[in-house]
Amino acid sequence: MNIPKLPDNWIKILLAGGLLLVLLQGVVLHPDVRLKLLPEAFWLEKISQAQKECLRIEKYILGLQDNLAPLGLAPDPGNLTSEVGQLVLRADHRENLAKNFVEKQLFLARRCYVNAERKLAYMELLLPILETAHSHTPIALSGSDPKPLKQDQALSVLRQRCHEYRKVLDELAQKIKSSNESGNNLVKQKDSER
Amino acid sequence: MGNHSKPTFSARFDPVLLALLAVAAFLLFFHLDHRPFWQDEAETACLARNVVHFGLPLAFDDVNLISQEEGREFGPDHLWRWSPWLQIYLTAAAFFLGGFSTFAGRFPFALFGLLCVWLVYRLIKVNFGNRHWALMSAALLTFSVPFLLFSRQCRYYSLGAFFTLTALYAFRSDWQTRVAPAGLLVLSLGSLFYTNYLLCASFLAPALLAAALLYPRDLLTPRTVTLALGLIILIIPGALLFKFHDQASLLRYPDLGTMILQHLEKYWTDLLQFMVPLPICLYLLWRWRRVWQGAGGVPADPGERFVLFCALIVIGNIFFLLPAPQAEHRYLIHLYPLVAIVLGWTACCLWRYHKFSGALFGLMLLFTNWLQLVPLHWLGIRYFPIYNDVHMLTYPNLTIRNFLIELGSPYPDVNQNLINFFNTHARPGETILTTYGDLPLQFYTRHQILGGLQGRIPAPGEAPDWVVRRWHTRWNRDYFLQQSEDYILNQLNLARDYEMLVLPGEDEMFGNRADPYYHRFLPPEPRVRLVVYRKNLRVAHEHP
Repeated sequence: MNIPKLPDNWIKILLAGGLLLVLLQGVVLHPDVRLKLLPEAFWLEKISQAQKECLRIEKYILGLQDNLAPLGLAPDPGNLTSEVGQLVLRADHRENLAKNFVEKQLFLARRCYVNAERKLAYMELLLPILETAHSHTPIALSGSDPKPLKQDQALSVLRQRCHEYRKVLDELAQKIKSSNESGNNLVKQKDSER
Repeated sequence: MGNHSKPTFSARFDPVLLALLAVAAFLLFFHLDHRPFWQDEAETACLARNVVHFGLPLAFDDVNLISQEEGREFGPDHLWRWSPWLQIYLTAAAFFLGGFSTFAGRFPFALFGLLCVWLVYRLIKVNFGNRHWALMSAALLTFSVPFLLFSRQCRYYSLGAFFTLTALYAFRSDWQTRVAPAGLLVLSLGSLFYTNYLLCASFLAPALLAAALLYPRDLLTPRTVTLALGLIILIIPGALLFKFHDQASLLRYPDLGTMILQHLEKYWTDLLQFMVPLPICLYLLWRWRRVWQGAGGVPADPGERFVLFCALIVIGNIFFLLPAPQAEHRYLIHLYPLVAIVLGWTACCLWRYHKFSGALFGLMLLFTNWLQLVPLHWLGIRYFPIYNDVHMLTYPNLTIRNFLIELGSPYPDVNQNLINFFNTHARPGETILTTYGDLPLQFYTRHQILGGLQGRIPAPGEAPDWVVRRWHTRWNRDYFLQQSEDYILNQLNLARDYEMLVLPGEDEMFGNRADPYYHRFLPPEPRVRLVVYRKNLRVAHEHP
């Protein structure tokens, strides 16, 4: 397929235009500029990033539940994991396989727990900062609009979610903790085998 | 006179290069000791100190244990067998000559960083005679803030970059017929192995493949076999000494495929975010499309062919790193000079094509990270942790300005605050248990330091005199709490037996870590303060 070739001057104009656009965007995105000129946009972006982080935490918590489910440690295994669980039950009499499976599930569960815990701890630290910073932006201080701002709503949702995540995570942590002993023994056994 | 006159000074020594080297020297050596060693640097420094004392890198000096892997790095004799020794002996030599100081420890590595700038220039100038390309590449490396940060660390990073460059330099010389380049090639690769064998393997394999594609005639000589044998003989002692198999045992992922995909995502994001801007990647992919399609199209111009060679090494290097147990930005540092060569060539091509665009492109590459971050920002694929400070390399910034601010106005980081505190408040013979940062405390204080990632906790009935419980929880590779964290949680009663002291500094995660995701140029916003626990006198009497 022949791609029609652009005239040379057009390419040069596009090139210079693209680079100028990056330059301008770079200046606008630079924290010093952005915090002065577009504080609301800056914090809005931070809030949207925080929302994405929340989704990740949720993903890890779901992963944690999924990994604990086949071991009978989580209430709702979900479709996929219940199938895996069935397979394991059938293979349960084959001791080694079951042991490996338990070890793997516990490892995956712990990994999900650690990732969720780490991110949630950051979120819990960051939320008050976002709220304080947001409340000091000119739009939030204007107070002319009695309706809650979009960003305020987003922040309150974030706070509520983090509260829920913490509750779920603490509950699941107890389950992991009770399974820690067997997990620890398995790891020790693996180490000694090595 | 005439033809027999000696070349002038400016002909022999490029004045622009000299100016560039002076700038690089300033950026590399100025306030080299502005922050203390962080955990990884302190590992090298503590081992080097033991080399000065005992002649060998021993992990135990009868008081303190050097370990970040719960003691996996050595056997019963405590001889360090986890990583190669070149960086340790280089630091030991620096300590021997300059004393046990931060400056002395980092000096040789900064020097190798400076040599990298010179070698990049020389590699291009000697082989392709293109002064502008040589200067641009050297300048890009000089102002590459991640490269500067890593070169200012008491760790193997700049050493790896240097040996990568000397290997390429030798490869481009007439090693098939001359002895000196052949010797340099083997020595460079051997030294790279003793710098970090992961770097050596991940560089050598793609370099061979790329050479087979682009320089097949160069490889097909009897000397290739001789050099390969020479290299094997050189690395055999190291291969027997270092614990490869134990490193491999760190692969705890039950799902290797997931791990490889995660590493792939991490390395490509790192490559685009801090090294090669996405538009340049796309342009080069398009330019060399016939090569990828296997339809020939290998550039006839020797300069462009070498640029393709470097690009293939960078790409191949990333693929060879994927199955390694850890994915870290530090494993890409030896590729920064190659990236500078590729980008320098691109900038020169653009300059020849359109001066205005070339100038804009060059300036943004040299002094900002906008070309790297802004396109990713537009596409929404940027890795952008929310908990990062806005003046870090993960945000669009004038990178060199941030670096200069750090050099000009250093602040006491988390390790410095703890070192100052214990050197002032702890008495001789007292023990300190910390959940992280044990190795900087070992290097800079005279106390017994337990905990950290060592897996070493106090003996039963011997409660530590001081406890540092860092805010960031540390887990081991099996995702269990580190033993020090577990010990504090389950064996100590901090509320009853210890007095809590809140220090003014921020409890940062690492301190002077160079990785772009973690390096802070300015003092962080104080979110969580450092907390230290001192044993109550009553408890001290009960457990003298």
